[in-house]
Amino acid sequence: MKDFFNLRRNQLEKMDKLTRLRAPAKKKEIPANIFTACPKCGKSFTHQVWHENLYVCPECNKHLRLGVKARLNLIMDDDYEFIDEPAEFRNPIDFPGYEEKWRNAYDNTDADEAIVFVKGTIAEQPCIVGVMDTNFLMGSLGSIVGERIIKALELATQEELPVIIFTASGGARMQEAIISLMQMRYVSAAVGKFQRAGGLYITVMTDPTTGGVTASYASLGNIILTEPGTLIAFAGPRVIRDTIKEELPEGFQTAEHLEKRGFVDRIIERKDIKISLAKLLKMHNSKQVKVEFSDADLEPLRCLINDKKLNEQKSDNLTAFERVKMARDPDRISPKQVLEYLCSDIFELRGDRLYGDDQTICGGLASLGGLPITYIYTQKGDDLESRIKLNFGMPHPEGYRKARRLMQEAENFGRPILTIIDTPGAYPGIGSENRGMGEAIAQNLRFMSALKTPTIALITGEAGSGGAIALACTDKLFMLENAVYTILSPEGFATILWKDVSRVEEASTNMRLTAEDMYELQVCDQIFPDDLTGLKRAIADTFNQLLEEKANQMPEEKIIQLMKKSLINF
Amino acid sequence: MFRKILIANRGEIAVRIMRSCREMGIETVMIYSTADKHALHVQLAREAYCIGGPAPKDSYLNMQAILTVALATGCEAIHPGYGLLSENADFADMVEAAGLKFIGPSGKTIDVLGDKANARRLMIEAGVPVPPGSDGVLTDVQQAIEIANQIGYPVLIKASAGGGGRGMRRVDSAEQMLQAFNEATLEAKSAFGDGSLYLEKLIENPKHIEFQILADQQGNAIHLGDRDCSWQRRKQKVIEETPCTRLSDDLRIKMGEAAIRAIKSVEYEGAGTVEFVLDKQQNFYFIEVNTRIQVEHPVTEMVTGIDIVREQIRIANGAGLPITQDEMQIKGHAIECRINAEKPSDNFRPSPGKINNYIMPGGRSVRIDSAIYPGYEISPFYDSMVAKIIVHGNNRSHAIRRMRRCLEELIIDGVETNAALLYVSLFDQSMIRGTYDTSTLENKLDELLKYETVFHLPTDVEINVEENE
Ligand SMILES: [Zn+2]
Repeated sequence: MKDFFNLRRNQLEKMDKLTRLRAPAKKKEIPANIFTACPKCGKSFTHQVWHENLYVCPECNKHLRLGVKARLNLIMDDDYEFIDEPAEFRNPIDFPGYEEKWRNAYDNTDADEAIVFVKGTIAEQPCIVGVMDTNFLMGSLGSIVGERIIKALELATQEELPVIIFTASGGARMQEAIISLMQMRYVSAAVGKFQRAGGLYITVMTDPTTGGVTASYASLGNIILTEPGTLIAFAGPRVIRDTIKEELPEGFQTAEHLEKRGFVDRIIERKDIKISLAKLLKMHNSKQVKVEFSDADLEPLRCLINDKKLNEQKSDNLTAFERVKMARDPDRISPKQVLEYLCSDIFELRGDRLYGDDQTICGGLASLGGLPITYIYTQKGDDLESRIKLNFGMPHPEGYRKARRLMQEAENFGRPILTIIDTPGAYPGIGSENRGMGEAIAQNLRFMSALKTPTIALITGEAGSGGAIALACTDKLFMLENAVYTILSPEGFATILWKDVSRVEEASTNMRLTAEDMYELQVCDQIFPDDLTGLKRAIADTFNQLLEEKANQMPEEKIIQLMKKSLINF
Repeated sequence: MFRKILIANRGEIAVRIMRSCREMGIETVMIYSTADKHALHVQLAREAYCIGGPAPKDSYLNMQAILTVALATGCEAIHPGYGLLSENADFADMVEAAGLKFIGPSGKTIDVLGDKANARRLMIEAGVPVPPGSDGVLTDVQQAIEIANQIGYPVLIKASAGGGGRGMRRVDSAEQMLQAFNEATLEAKSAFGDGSLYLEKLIENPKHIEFQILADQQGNAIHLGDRDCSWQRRKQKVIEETPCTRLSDDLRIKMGEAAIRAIKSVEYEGAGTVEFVLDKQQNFYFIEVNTRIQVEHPVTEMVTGIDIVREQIRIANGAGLPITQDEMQIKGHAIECRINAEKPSDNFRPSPGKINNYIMPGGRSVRIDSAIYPGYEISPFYDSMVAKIIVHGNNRSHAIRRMRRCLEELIIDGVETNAALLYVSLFDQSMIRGTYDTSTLENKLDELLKYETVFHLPTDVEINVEENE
């Protein structure tokens, strides 16, 4: 009978088509005023739940697109003013039918063009904010959009305000054809001018950011944030699929993928965007010119991490190789722990904007005694899994390029730079070589030497060769007492020189690699105990001193002097 | 009231009559042929007697055997059902002579109405419209041509004693008359022993409209509305409905009154049907009276709420009519489909065989009159009807849609049926509009069969269907 039931079901389907009793039922949308289904996972929630959850799916974290109004409500403090001139339709190439489409969008969306600018505050930090709306002709880059961006940047220059743009766009505006393409160069030029004038320009890429917008102002932010799951692309997925005739890998062109690829700084959940922006604005808006630690800030004088272990160790009268072993101890205080001891308000930034994001070198913004600084540190990982992931602390070229990018930003905004180093060296491997490890290190050496902003490096453990010096070309170099700084590992040294790795202890001594050696060789400026006693105050004082000193000095000059001083036969 | 009745029939009508009897507290006796040993009317019976071989003449038409059983089992009446002995005047007389009640009109009445030329004359006298034609029997071919010229061709010449198409000829012109007249005379003589003929105008492609009549022994008669039985193939009704959607209220009243006059022109008793043809100009003409319960009686029961078999028995027992004509009310619309074991796409070849299993439709206002059960073998000796599906609806389109739904649910595993043809018929425009006539089904058969195959259920279980997810 089961077969009959199935046959009959199939027959009925055919008969219904033949008899055309009625058109087949169409899928119905759940009424918007009751339920809205998540476009990703299909789960439905009431309007109120969506609203309370900031239009982020409680089930799968899909961030729905927001219109202008919703976005501004989410980001801005209450008082903000619209600063655009009223949009008036223009048809630069007399494209037929454009006006009707434009008026339809004009009448039926929150926005009067695909981008809207307001002036106001975000958690009391003043700024100019632009929001794009995909409901308006897919957020396409028309001439009014370009004009509004340029005018907003000019106003921001005059009033010394930072600019934040929430991008959302299908790309160029087809109805304006080549005029739309021209907007890409106009706005990119305006962004460059604004940035050179010292302006902070942050972009928040929201779903979808594609085409000519990605290929112009969206990708030019000093800092680029994005929301989870955002589609970020130049060519849309459909275009690529049709061109290469292949299925695209899962997650291709998502925010998550782009973050791994080094093209965005951070993926921020919608609920955290306002606070994140406020933090970034505050750091760039700081009027403080000195590191100011209160007495309370300086308590405790010693870092309490690994306190017990440190007490057990006797630092006196250790051989060089014993110090090497201590420097390599996996339980030794890590650069990250040192940073957290020294700084607050740490905000990580990622990516080299070129190839990837190497987590072996981390960097970002932090507050050191109230003074915003840029920090860079290396990390080895604290368990096997993370050590493998982090390559046992050996960075790739993209790590150094990220460091350089962040230091450039620091230089632009006059932020001191602190690097904290514990690395066996740059990663020796095919990929590293292919991507130009030597070039990456070389660029860093030249770049860091020319920085006008004060720089300090601290070696907490190992500082292996080129991979270490690429982060250590600083005004001052500090070392912990059991840190080592080497041209290569003592094992390598013994092998190369004597072809006998067992002579590693002898090599360790002869190479001169301890902190004390470095101090004597004038490589290192100051040594601190492993428990960091005095470090905080010393860093504060040194930065403050450098801030005064460096104001009128060409930096490279000082390095040359240093060289002359340190080498007897110069 | 009778205590015990013999049901001289088989199949679904035997079961249907038994059901009413049971509800009335009347015992029943069934008869059966050796071929029907396992038939449902036997399986359900308290008492059943085998009265002969498979051929009807050896069993269900064996009057003597039937009477013997009736008398031996203490029956007081015999219900003849439809077909078989139901319109046999001799049997009716014989039953009465044996001191039993024949449930139906007397043998004399059956006889009078069976003589077509005579019936025609009676109707003319009673003021019932008949097709134009001869007043009675034709004297010669010359008279035939004269009358035909008067009323116009085409005409039919028919055997006065006849029936079933024998001794009947269609004549389209005067030139054809002589040959047709001679042939029909010979045929009637050999078939009925009486060569007398009469002539009628042929009403082309009419609607077949009939009125259900109830008449009591006191001479009262009412009708229970009309039935449209025009969806026919080779004179076999396939779909019947009531009320006919093409009758205006005026016309329905006129035809109903004519039907009553027709019945009252003879001493009629019990249930009967007055058949008319209705031409395109809304002219109606008397055809004949069926002096028995009919296959399609359930549609009338559905819209009137009257159990016609129950009333047949009550009237036979001397009771009056259940309602007056004024009280008679038609509520909604009813349709009947006859499910036959046959394969329409193979020229309606009968498809006897074993019913392996089946799903009958159900739900609100659905009635199934059937005599099949899982494991039952449909006998090739008798007619091929396996079930009647009758539905009632608030209005005609409601009923049509309900019937479609029923046919969608119907599954019979074991024999092939015409269900798919019935189903697609219900989508035909003339069916939907109710404009079909007695020629429509045959004219449209090729087209309908194209769609029929889409919906046809085969007998073999080797069905290859992909399972729906
Ligand atoms: Zn979801």
